[in-house]
Amino acid sequence: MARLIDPSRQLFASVVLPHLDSAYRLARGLAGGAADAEDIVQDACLRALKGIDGYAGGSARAWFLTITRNAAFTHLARKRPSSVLLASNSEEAELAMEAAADDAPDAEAGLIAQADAATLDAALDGLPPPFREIIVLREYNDLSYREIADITKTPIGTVMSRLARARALLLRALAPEPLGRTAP
Amino acid sequence: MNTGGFDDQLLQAALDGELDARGTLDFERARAANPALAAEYERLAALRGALRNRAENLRAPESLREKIAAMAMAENESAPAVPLSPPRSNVLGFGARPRMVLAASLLCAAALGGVATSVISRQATRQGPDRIAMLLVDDHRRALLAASPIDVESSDRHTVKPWFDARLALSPNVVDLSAKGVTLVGGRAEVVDGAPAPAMVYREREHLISVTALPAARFDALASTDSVNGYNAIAWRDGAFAYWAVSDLPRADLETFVADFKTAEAAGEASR
Repeated sequence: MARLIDPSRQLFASVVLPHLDSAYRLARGLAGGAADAEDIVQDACLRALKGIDGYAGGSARAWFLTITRNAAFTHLARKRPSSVLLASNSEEAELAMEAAADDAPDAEAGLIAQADAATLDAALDGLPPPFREIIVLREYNDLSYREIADITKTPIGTVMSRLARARALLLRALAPEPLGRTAP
Repeated sequence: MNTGGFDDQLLQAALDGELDARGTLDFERARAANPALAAEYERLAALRGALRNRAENLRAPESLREKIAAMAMAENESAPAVPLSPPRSNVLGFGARPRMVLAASLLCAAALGGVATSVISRQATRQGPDRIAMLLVDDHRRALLAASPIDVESSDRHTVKPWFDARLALSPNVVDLSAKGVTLVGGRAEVVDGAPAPAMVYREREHLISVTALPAARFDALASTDSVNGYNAIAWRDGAFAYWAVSDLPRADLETFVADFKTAEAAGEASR
């Protein structure tokens, strides 16, 4: 059975298929659940197929991840409207987290390294979305600061400060304060 | 976060490999002198390790991959898009799914380049030394196409030989042919038919020559010559290795090279 494959679908396949894992990780990181992540990636693929003519070369991964990110936001806004924080609210969110947490406790690096999947997922889920996103892009997808800035359309300085805050918040969530220790 | 006074964002950048050489140097000095900074770095590195382990286990499920591959295979834009959540088997039937996936992977292969596909089809048909020559010519060509044709760059055989030793636990003869106007460029590690194989790379004028040493026990190559796609390949046997020289040099020149190689090899054995 011979099939004619139209060129845009061929392009779609070469651009999108190699980066499915990356997109899935981003979706998992942003949305939490596996079912949500699958829906998001499917939606992102439909969008990518529709918009494949807009792909102008360059990093296929960054292009597809940008689409996946948008699909994730649409999905989340539909599913739990109150939980989606826009990037501009992140400073506020940061202050809120800041107020909630005391000064950083000392923690054994080993304890952090041994955190299991469920603990990590919960800690990640507890981050305000802009911080969760930065962690997922950096650690799950190994993107450079420049690529993250392009995908999230934020200045590199903001990427760096968010990453620092996000990691500090994660460390606090993962490493419980030792007993009997008082904040300085 | 206690960094002992070190800039927090620079610490992140150090962890993420985003510092330039100067910044890295400054950071390494600060870390050596500042235990609080070193401890914080350890914590951050542990966090990174945990997150990356987690990410390793997050892969698009096969069912999702199949759906997307099917999406790419639909015949035209007006065809109904793949239903968002098709039941796993009965809509398309058991037979259809693997075929579509196969077609999708062929599509990817085609997108990656016709060279690879033609190689695969020829691999299936050629046998024996013929087949080895072809594999090695392909390795040679791939090395020429790669960013660098070598993994270790050195004109010193006393660097290249130990590198093979350490890397592959194989120690072929690496000879010095500079007297013949042939320079050693370096070496690379190949995998030929599933066996790791050291390849030495020489340069004669503007031509690169790959000399691959295969374990003679597995590749019982008699002295032979072959030509594949305009590349010449010459095989000979010496001790535990079957050597193959591959180059785009004219055959006569490659034969001279091989003769020089054997002479140098014999001289090397004698002087040891």
